[in-house]
Amino acid sequence: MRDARKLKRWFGVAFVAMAFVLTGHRLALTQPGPNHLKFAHTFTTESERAILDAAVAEFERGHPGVKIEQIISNSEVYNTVGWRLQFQGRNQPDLYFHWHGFKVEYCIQRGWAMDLTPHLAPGFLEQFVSSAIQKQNGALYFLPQSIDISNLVWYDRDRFARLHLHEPGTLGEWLKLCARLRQNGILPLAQGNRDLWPMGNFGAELLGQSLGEEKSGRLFQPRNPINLEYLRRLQTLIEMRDLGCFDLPGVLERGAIGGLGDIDAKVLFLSGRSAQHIVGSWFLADVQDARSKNELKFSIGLFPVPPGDGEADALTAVTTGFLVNPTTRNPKAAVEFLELLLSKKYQSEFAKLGNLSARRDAVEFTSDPLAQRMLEILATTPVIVPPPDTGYRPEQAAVFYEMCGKILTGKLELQHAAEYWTKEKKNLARKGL
Amino acid sequence: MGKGSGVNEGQPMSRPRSYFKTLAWMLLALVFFYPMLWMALSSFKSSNVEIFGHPFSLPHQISLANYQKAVRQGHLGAYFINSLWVTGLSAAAVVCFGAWAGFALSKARFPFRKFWLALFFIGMILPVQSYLIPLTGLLEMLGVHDSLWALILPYTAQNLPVAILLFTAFFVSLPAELEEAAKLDGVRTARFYFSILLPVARPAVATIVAITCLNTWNEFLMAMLFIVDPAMKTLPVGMIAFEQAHNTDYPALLAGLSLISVPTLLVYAIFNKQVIRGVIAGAVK
Amino acid sequence: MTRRGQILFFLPALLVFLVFVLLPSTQTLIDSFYSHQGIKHPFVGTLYYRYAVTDPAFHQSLGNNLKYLLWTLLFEVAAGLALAVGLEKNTRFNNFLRVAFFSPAVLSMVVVGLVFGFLFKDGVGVLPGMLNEGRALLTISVISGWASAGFFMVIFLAGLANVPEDVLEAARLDGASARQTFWRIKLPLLKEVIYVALLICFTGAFKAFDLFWVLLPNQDHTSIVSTLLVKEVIRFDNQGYGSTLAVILTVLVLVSVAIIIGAKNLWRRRERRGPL
Repeated sequence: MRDARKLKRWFGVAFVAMAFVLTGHRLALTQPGPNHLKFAHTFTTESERAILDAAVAEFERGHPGVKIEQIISNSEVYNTVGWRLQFQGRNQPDLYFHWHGFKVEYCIQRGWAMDLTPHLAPGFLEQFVSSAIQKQNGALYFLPQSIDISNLVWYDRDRFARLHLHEPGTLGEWLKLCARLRQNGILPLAQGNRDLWPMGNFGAELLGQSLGEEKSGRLFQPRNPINLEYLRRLQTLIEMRDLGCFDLPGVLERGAIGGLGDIDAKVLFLSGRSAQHIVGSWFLADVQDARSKNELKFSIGLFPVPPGDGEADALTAVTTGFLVNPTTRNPKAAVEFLELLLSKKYQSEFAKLGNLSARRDAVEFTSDPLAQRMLEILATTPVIVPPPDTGYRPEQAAVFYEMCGKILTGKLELQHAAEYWTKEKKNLARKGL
Repeated sequence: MGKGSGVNEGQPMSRPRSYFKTLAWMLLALVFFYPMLWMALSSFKSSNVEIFGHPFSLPHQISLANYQKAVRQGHLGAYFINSLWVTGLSAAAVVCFGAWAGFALSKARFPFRKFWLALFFIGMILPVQSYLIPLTGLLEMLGVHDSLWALILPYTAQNLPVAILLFTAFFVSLPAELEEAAKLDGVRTARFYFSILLPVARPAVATIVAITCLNTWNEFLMAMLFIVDPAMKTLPVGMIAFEQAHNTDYPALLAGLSLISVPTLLVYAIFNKQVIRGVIAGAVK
Repeated sequence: MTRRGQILFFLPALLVFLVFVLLPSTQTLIDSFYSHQGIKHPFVGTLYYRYAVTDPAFHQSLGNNLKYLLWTLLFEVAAGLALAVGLEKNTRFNNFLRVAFFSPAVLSMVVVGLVFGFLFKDGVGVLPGMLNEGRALLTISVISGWASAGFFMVIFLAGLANVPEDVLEAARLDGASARQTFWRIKLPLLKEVIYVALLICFTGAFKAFDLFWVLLPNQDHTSIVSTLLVKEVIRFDNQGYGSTLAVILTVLVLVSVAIIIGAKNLWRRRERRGPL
């Protein structure tokens, strides 16, 4: 009896000891090593990750002993929660993805980015279009990976063909087209605004089209009062809602847009439940994913959000790219990896997924019609405005996003929008933001 | 469930009303279980289309591919081990420190006894949000940030108050003769504590272990904010990370969710008496 | 045991509790009086508290907390009580059902949130539209009830088990119906347990976070104080206001506990006086 208990105890002790030997290293307080680079990014589709994995593998072959660990999160979370949290870590990322604009500036100010010029290979920067390489006081912190177009209308070509619909050139034509789709029992647009940025970015594009870059940019500055005249164009949100662009009995009920995630909307469109979907250029990677899994049952086309009558066309777009953390123990390897990733070989792979490279030789990269079309749109659109959540302070952008969400769900009348925005800005100012 | 079970066992349920009642309860249980059932069934389906196209149907074929994917790409194995360490060490520390403190506080002459008990009572009801924000900086100052210790230490602190109060109540209810007798036998304090007190306190220990394990295994907020390193994530946060990285691969995600629910449900199925007793004791205290 | 031995035994727990709960709680209180914008952290006094009084986002979040509290009283506490009364008899079948109904309580709220998120997905889910505006808060409360009703059932069962058998026997001999027995005899005897349940439900409604964060983190009609707090601190880098919200939340929890305990004591005193 006693022996049995003793035996049991020894078993217990042995078990814990074994567990400790096998997995106890997880309890260690690790320190970053020079040969282990952490790379934080937001490339979540399988197509993009295949390219990244190949680049990492090639780099590791060329640098024996150096390992690159990828830290992958989705862009929503990366943009809202992760962008500051990741610098609280014990092993902060050595190199990381970011959107140019407020976020990159913030990282530079906080000392989370280092000057890359001393480590760059000679001639490397000359491979990029000069506007994409922005130095600050002689220092370069950011290497461009891609220009993301934030709003494109992706559509089901087969459905359009069956109904004899054509890509619209103006807003009026587009709305008519949506009405036609709905009359034919097809959900015009699958949109999920649960996290507010999807339709917020769309709203920003509407403002960009009607106001131009400078005026629309000024709206997002702290403490700046808003004039209702400037917001008239958001009427389009209401018109689209009232037309039933975002709902259809049996597919999406009225008001569903507020509870639907952007990913769910994406899945709805890709599974053929809607005729169109507004989302950024990065969606091409999802399309490729679906194609490679044989889940896509129709062909896809795209067009830019059509401008209103007499308006200049404008595009919401942001340059994405990479920064290197000064805490890295191996800046040379980090920069060399970025050079590899941004080389023609991998950039042309990315280009097939809709990545619009800032490299000079980008035009030759792909013959994919959708990617070609995006390049053409980017080259011909006269006005480019940033998406608010990367271009401006996050709380200022959040106010606008919330406002668009409220207008869309009928909680806020357009004529009160200017008042609302001005008041929210005052509120932010009162708590010191 | 204090009453001895089986009092009414074997009572004939022949009346039609009983049948009806039983059926109604079964139906309720089925509705209740449906979400879990749906999760498990859908996790075997091959694609999003199958999950949402035929939400109520059985999977066409049982394949473990989704589970393979969840474990391999979702690093669920690593998260599982992390959760195990965090939960195990927190529970051990809570029991150990809690029993010591409870034993000390059970002595009527302990200095400021009432004050400490009141303090731990407040500590018990304090929401995690009240100490959450500065903890990040504190853990960094201590040099344990972004490691499993960044969770073990706060979890221990968070679960200690309940343990202390429970142990105090338990030891107060023990007859004083126990210690007297031990003293007469010449047993030293430490020996007395380990070889007499802890075995006697086994029911209290089981209770504390049950509550602490449940709390720490499922804790999300601190784990989300304090752990950045993907290698150090615990299951709930790891699951969210997996969701974010594979956001359109619903079958694999559901496989992951099923997989991480199995251990808790299994442990509960085996130890349900202890768990329930623990929950009651923890709640009623 | 010597006095020194006692204190030695007491110290580790006190130290851990002090360092990881009391110290940061105090720090939160201090932080709420300072601005954390930029590099310098100037003292701003009660600025954030004054702001909170008029902050519509905070009002809405607090309102949602209160609505959630009312719903969970129904879906967790009342439902738990109903389950306990229904499954009071100790039969094997009832025992099985008890174990079954409690089982969601051991699941992580993250798992619960993700699974229901799937079930309720608009356009693709089994029960679409449940997370639409106007319904979302109710839906989250129902999910919460699904996960926690079993927990409250177990507490009430423990209370019911303590109802003395002879009292019930006497009632039965007096010809009291099941309903009468419940309202007249069992419920008053369950008082202690009901206080406990209320305490847990009230504090739980303010502490809630996981479900809201997993299901609808960014919509203001499902914003609660704890999600607003995380949003301020993490997204907007505004630790001062976040700390203020944390302090307010803490005060709310402590006050609701004080009210329940106060009500309990008051009741007890009145009862003691009552029969005379």
